[in-house]
Amino acid sequence: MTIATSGGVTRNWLDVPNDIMIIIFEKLGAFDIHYNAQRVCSLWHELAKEPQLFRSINFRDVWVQYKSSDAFLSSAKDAVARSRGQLETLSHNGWELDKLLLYVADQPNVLKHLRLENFLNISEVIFAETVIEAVRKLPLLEELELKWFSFPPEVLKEVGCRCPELKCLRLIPSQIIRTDYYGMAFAIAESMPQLRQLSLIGNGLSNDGLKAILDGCPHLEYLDLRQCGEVWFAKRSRIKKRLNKIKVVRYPDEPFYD
Amino acid sequence: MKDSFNPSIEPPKKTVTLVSSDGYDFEVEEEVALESQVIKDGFEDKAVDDREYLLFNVHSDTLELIIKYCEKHVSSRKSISAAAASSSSSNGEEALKEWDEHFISVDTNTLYDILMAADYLNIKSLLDLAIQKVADTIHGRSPEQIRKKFNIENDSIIDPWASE
Repeated sequence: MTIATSGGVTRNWLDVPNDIMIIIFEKLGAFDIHYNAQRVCSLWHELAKEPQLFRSINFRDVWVQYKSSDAFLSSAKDAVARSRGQLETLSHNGWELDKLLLYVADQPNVLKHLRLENFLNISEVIFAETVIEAVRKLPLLEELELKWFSFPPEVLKEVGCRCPELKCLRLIPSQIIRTDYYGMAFAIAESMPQLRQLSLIGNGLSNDGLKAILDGCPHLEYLDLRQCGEVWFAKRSRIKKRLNKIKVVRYPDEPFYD
Repeated sequence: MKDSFNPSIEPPKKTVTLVSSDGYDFEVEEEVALESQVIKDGFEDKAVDDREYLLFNVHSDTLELIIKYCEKHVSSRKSISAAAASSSSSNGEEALKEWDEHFISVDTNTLYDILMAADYLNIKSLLDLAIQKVADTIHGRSPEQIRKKFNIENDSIIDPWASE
């Protein structure tokens, strides 16, 4: 091994104490560890087996670096398996979204945060079936983000009924498939009474839907209605008074940057 | 070093002597040295005239940097709390962050020295800073680029990707 020395100081990065190296890997994130760092040398390969490094896995936008969807899926499964049941956070917006989610749900997990974006436009039916099947095995879920999806009421009801810990829901509707906003709003109102944070940016729900949500989710502390073109209320209206009681409300006319 | 036979009228100076691995003495103010948790632990039990620390693992080049960092942080903390007390607006914390960023923008060898010294001396904020810098340096690089950057030899027999 070549070692740089200066003034009698020996520098060998493999001498960095393992506990420090693990913290460095933690900052690096699961994807970078799995895709790059673990292939550097045998010591780093060993260190990368530490389950705590895979508690949070974010494949958003990085899945394109894999050569094929098969290569991605087998690698992603390996990363999930390394968490040894400690997986808490999963984000993905690419290949094999459905298969990966079902794999995660089938593994022992303590998944609390799930963020999925249907960037590749997999069929609504498959997406809906996948989410329904997965949430049955994700009872600890606290936060769910679904992007580019039409949120069929039966999916939301299943989520509400299977995930009693759900506190935070973010929905960003599909631009292609028509969403049943009325059904969506009533499904949330009916099945998610524990919600604290609800983000409905760009949502087509109406005043009726909003009222139902305010009735059904009395603990809301954060409600994002930016770019919701179908809700409106006068300054002293009843609905405005009820919104005033929520700690943070982002109104439809507020500027939106993503 | 000061002449100990000099009949000084000043009160004993609150300083500590740090000795680098290559034998250089650095006299620093007590509060600067106390940024190191290792020095802080058991500091009170040490006799005032025996406040000398032999840092076998820290070269003088690195020690100079470490002292510079600790002095900056001690003085910044003072000015930040002074600004808070007089409720005058201050961008002290922002400025310190910028200073830190500049401080840690060093070559890989120096980064190694700072990381190891911060760990050895247990200076939490500096260790965090160095750890983040190492992670940022690894981030987005291919295995080959990482090996080159950190001068690590590829001894890996198993490449989980070799079959691709």
